[in-house]
Amino acid sequence: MMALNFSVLPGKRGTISSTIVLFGLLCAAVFPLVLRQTNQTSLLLFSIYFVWLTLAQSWNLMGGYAGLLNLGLVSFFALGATVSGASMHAGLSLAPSILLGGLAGALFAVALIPTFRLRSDYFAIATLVIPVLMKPLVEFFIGTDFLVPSADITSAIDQYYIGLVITGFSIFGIYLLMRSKVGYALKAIGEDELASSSLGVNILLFKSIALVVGGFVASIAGSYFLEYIGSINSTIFLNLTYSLFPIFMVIIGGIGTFEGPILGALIFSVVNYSTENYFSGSTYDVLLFSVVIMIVAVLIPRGIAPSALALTKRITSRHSTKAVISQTA
Amino acid sequence: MSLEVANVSASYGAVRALWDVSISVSQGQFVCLVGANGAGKSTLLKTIVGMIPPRSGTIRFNGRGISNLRTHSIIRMGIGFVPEGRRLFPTLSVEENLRMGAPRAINNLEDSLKKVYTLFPVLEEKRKQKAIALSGGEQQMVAIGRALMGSPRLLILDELSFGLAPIIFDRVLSTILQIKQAGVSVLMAEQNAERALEVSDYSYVMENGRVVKHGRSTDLIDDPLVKEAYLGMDE
Repeated sequence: MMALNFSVLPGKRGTISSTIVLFGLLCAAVFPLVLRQTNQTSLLLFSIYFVWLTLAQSWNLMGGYAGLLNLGLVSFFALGATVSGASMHAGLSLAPSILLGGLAGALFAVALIPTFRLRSDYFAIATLVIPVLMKPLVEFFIGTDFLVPSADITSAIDQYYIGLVITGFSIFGIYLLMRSKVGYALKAIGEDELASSSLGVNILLFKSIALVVGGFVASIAGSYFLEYIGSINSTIFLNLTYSLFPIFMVIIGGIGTFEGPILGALIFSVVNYSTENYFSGSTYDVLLFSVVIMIVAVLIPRGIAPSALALTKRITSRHSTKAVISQTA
Repeated sequence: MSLEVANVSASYGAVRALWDVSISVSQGQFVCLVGANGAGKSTLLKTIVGMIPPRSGTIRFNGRGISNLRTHSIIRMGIGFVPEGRRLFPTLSVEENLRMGAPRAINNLEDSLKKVYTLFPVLEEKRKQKAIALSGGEQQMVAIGRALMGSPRLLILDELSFGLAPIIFDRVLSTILQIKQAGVSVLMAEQNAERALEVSDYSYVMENGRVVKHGRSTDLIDDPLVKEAYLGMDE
């Protein structure tokens, strides 16, 4: 099948990072238990960050690993929300509805595969337009307003755990995908597409896999968002926030890395949470976030995660040479 | 092994790049495409391996039509392709780069590596070094070695002399002759027409996307027109 015989061992670095992330998820899991029962608003606030984390995962897979510059992530996100809303109305319970929303996104991704024929910059423009085209289609076929039926409304704590499970699955699902043959092929394609194809790597297949998996993840995030927010209408397709913020997060954290989207979403969440606390109802978070983006773009264009790793490497290697010198002295 | 390209036309968007080109490579043959920059040599090679879809015409490899196949399937039929500019994976080691060229189902990976190392002993010495740390000539050897890992029946080389000193290029060419001796057919696009005509069996002269002349390389060397236009010699 594939022409890769890449025996790169799972690096120490990846293992350490994934352990830290796993530990972070466990902390998040016990967090509601230490929190006072009365403090439900904090849980609600945190639940939205699961949406962002999952969206950042999705975009990192498409844009970071597969090199698909998707400027219309909202089309998957909103499709997931509307389809899961419609299926809840049709009488399906919450979990299958969320899954159905995800499947709709995956199916939609399959329909987008022909756009790969476009050059990468045209692909980006196409994805920017697609949500605009989808809005009337969804209105015609699925509906305009989507409300979570009262039977499917969950408590804040349940919502928090659903979000945590979705985030955990998206992080480690993509992590495992990137350690499979698919991941190695995507890394090779990301490095040099022409060289990879001339070595027998099926470019179209692996890019399609990335788009379909990424579309599934983004749509699941959308389905969860509907459950979180309670009701949406079809204008959500025109909301650029869900297309652009995940990109910013990935770029700040480090595009095409495991740590990048997690770190980026975390920084975004901290900025968002603190401005929300001090200037509630304002949009200062966008302002602050823009400053962060500019600083990152100028000082560390590769993103925080790769630069931080390079720095620790330099420090540890300096230590080890010192040790060698002191031994020989 | 046989490669038949018949009446192939191709274009980049609206710009026509190949006009009715026909060439063929038979078993054990060393065929060269010569011509100036922009003559369509590279385009023709890319069309053969499916990177550019042909507008019309047929391409047959071992009698099977391949003009509708995508690159990876064509490569897997037994074609080794060395792209222009080598296109190595710079942060991978020499050996990792070579392994990238091996098909997944390969059961004699070590044998293939050994073959490449016998051809290019210097690569064995530097097998742990990153590709980016090699000299241009060594990088070209890695690119050729990588294309050989799948034991191709036809080796396609795009502008081997790219960025190489003439003496290094000569050395690389002599290895290509060795590869040919081992029964691999070679199709090479080369701007250095003099060298190309000296080492190859048969050549096609290209100009503005067309084949303007072809024949045995030894005959073309003595052709007054070729001499004047491509070898820089006045009669």
